[in-house]
Amino acid sequence: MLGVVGFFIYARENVRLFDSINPQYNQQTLDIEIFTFCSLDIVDEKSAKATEMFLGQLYTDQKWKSFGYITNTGVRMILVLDATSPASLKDQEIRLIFKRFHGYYCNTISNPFYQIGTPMQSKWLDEGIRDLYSSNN
Amino acid sequence: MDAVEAGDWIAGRPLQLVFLSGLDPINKEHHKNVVSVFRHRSTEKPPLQIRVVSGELDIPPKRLEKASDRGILRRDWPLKYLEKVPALIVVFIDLDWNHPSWEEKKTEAESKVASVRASLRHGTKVALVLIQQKSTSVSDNVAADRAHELCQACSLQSKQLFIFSQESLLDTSKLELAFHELCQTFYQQRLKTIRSRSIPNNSPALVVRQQFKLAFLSELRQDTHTALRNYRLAYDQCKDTVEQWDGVDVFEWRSVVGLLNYKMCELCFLHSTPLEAINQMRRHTSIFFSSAPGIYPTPHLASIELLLWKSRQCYQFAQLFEKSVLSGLSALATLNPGTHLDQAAIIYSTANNEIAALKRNAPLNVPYPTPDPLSNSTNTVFFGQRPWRVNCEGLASAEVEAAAVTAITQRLVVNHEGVITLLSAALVQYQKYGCLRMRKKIMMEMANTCYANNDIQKALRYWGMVLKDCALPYSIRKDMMHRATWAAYAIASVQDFATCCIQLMCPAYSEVLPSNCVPCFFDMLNGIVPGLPFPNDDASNEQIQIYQSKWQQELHDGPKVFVVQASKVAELFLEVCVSFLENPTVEPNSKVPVRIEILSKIDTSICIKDVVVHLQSKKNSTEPIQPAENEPVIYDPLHLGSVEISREQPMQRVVMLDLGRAKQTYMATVTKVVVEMGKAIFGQIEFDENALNRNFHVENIVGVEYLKIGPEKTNAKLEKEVNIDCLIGEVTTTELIIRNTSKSSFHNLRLDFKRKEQKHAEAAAVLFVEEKGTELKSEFSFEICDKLLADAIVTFPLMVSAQLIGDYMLQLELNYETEDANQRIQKSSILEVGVTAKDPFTVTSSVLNMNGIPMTSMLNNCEHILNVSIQSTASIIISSVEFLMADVVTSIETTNGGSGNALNDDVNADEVICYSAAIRVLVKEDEPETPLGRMSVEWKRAAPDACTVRSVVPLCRIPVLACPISISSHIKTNPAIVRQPIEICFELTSHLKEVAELSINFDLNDVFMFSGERKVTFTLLPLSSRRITVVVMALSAGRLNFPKLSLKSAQVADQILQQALRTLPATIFVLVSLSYGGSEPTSLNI
Repeated sequence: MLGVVGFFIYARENVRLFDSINPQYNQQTLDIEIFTFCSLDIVDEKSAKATEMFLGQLYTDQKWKSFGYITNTGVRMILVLDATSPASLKDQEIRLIFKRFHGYYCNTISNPFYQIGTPMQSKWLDEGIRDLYSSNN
Repeated sequence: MDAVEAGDWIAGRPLQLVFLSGLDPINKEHHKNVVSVFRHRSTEKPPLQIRVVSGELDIPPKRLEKASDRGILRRDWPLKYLEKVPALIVVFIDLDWNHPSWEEKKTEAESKVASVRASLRHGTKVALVLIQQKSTSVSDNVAADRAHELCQACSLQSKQLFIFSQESLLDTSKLELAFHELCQTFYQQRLKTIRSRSIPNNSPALVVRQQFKLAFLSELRQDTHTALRNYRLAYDQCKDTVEQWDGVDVFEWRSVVGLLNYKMCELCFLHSTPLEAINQMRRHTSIFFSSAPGIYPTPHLASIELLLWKSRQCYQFAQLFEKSVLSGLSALATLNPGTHLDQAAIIYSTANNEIAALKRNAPLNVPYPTPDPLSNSTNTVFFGQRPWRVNCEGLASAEVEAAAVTAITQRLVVNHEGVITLLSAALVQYQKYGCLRMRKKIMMEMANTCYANNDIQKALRYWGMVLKDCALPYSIRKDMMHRATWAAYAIASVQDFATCCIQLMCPAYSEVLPSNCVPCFFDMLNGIVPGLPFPNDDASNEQIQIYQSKWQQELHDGPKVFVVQASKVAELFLEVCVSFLENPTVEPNSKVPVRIEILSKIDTSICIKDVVVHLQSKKNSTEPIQPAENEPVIYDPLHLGSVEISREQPMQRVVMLDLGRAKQTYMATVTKVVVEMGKAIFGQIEFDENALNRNFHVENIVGVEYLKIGPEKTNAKLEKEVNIDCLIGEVTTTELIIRNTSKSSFHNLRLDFKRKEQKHAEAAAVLFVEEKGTELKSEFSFEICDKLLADAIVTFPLMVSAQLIGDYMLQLELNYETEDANQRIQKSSILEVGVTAKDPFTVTSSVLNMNGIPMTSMLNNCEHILNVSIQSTASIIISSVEFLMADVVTSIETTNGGSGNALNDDVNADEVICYSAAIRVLVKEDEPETPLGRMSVEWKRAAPDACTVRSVVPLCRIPVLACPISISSHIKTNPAIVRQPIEICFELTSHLKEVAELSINFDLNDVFMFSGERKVTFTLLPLSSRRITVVVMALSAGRLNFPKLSLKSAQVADQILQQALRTLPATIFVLVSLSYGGSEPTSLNI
């Protein structure tokens, strides 16, 4: 169990573009949503001083912990992990996840029919999420 | 039930306890002074806690360990060293070295010290202080002997005896430092003693106890780094043995761990290593927060106790963090006390839920046990000890244990206020560190807590504040909206229920949270008891009955009104778009069409009783204005009447608004649109400026959102655009043709030029000549005509003289009267006349030497040529030039000072004309640059009837170099003829104030034969001249090099003399014969 709880993508102005919550945690959707929402505060603070795209750990409470990533164009990505999970992802693995999703994001916006700033629906992201959750088990 | 509080001592830093004995502050004034000086503590002073004792010392004896003492840390142990066992006892005696009864006094001191020593335990140090009248000098042998004697008698070391002079009463710093040194020795000894104690079987409790004692004594010794190490060792011991904790002692262990964690974090913050403190807290959380709660006294109670302990841990850490922040630590959004307070509140809230569950399941009608098993709760021996198990070996009797469970259960209360206090503190912190989303989360939790506390109005208010944010994801909003709607329904609050319904009616909500809000809302408006907002939710019939009877009562009680501010909710089922169907700028007094569109997002049609549109005009200015001028014009509200709207059938109306009193620069806006609805219940939805046009893109709005009121259109215009092309200073005449474009006559036309009202600064400098006038005026007012008929024109000559160059507009104010209903109305309009002004010519001046070579500097007292080039920008005629030299400049030409009159020089555009003058500069002081003066040029346009203008232009500024010896030449033989003697006279003038030795050497030249002394050495007196005449004979005719000479002087540098020599002519022109050059031949030296 790697404890991946969800993955979220927000536009520069914090408009949500993509969200996915691991079906295992469906009962706690509200908690996860609130936790992710709060993590955006830390993204806002860290993004001003960020020297690289990976922002590191953002926020943690008893149940969850979040990691952040901000692209050059200000698109924010948040990965939520289970803080109580016995096995945890290493920093390098988290970086790789973000890098992979950055690629998926680029593929998605390359679709000429996608309107920038609107919620994303793409096979790239869906497959990425499927891989992420399948490696969870 | 709560984790046992350590007591007040934990709040401050531990201080070294020092007792002062032998002082009588009540009866002796100087003793009182001593006490007051010692009692005055500050942070710079050594960390001593000083107490004055009198009579018998009450020092506790050493306690014998008993087998029954099963526990980890005694609660009173830290107090022993803070309050009871001093590190040092100081005995004060009034004794001078020359006291008449020295021996008796010495014996008295000896007995006092012996008495104090007899009552001492634990190795407390003793010091003796002699209070003396005068200070002792170092070389006082008697004093040294007697001090030694006293030390012997009292068995004290010399460093334990001190003299305290009354003269130096205020200076106790040295004495306090000495006391501090002695205290350090005491604590060092105590540390050694405790460290040497053996621990049988490495008992975890004893190891923790020993490490805690070592740490605390190290703190007293002010060695906080060692203290932190010992606390950490104790903490690690607890962590390593957590599996071995006896089930019944878990609470006690947890209390000790909490205390150790507190001390560690406190010391980390003290050492300015806040990250270490935060990491320690994280470690603490990960290790102990997830540990099993245990089963003692009951599993449920143990679980509640663990939650309360966890909450307390977070709270205490937040307190330490906040204290550190107040001392200067800078926190961040990621790391601030708010997160810990938030954590504490969440855990406390969970504890409250568990307590509520426990209370629900607890048997009723069980009396509170007597005797109270919790009566000893403040007098337990050990940290975290159960009060009913004091003096018990292991568990108490079964009855006592059962009574304790009952007592705890009955004493437990759900404390929502506690949660709200914690949340409020967290809210303040999040506000401070700009965590707006976390703040919202706290507000949501506050709302939930208020709801749990049955304070539904407050909960609804918090929910309303959070729901206002559009950025909140619907998944979060949905949950809150669900709760809020139920809450409003449950308390039958018309206002709140209406607010929730109008939001839930939005399609965005209806997708994620299906509800019956539309029929509920309409039922409520019609005075019918609304049904359940969420029919799919489980609600018992009794509950439904209660809710409905409340609604019945509410609707029955009388007329009800609700008012919803649209700007205070994120979205609602109505949208209002308002605009003006006009140009962005309109004239005052005009009537403008206002468009109002109301869109509904629901399919059901809704009957709106009235739509009231409020409009106003107010001054639109960024400049500070008088309040009286800022009075907005509020128009009467426009009532649009009743209308029925639905998604398919929006309301679109256009009404006319008379701008009326609104003046120029005002701005007209729609301030509010109120939508009124309802029969039995009257509802108003107010759309203020923030809610109007809220979800409309600008390009989708028909017309403009606001109107600017501009100037009234003028009916008097210039027939054609006028642009005056002129030269600076000249008077140009232009003809203005003014046409009356209105359909009525104008009267009393007057044209004014007001300098202060010009847009351009250059325009303000323009001068005017009034008709038939000869004066230049900066302002003018001219009566043009008495009457100007409709569509007629009037011509007016405008004579201007521009004073500044550039392209700018002159704003001329045309004032006239119009007739309106037999009444004359004064009107004015602005006529704009363009001006393009440029300089008539550009002047460049330079200085040449007598040989015509341009110079970058001039030599003082020497002759130069000033050359002035005038480049004309238009065809002009220069009639005269005049050099207005500066005081230091003298014109050599004596006839008319270099000026030329009646020149009549024609200069076309871009042509250059030069004027020269021979000058001499006489400067007394060294200045970096010397201005040469000005030049006056009289000119006029090369056109008939042009007026002459006199322009004065500055001449150049040039550095003047000092020239102590000036030299000039004069050819006496005129003309110079080949093979004829030519007499040349050189005149040297000294400007020095001292005698100068000069030697002149004539350079022989092939073209001249030379007669005279080739080398002359002479003395030149101050301010005197010397003439040297030589005769040369030119061997060929034509332009020959002027005979050269070289100068040398001991007083003047060669370089300066070289410069002086350059003032001599470079050539001489020699004629072939007297008759060759004409009737009046002249020699020229150029």
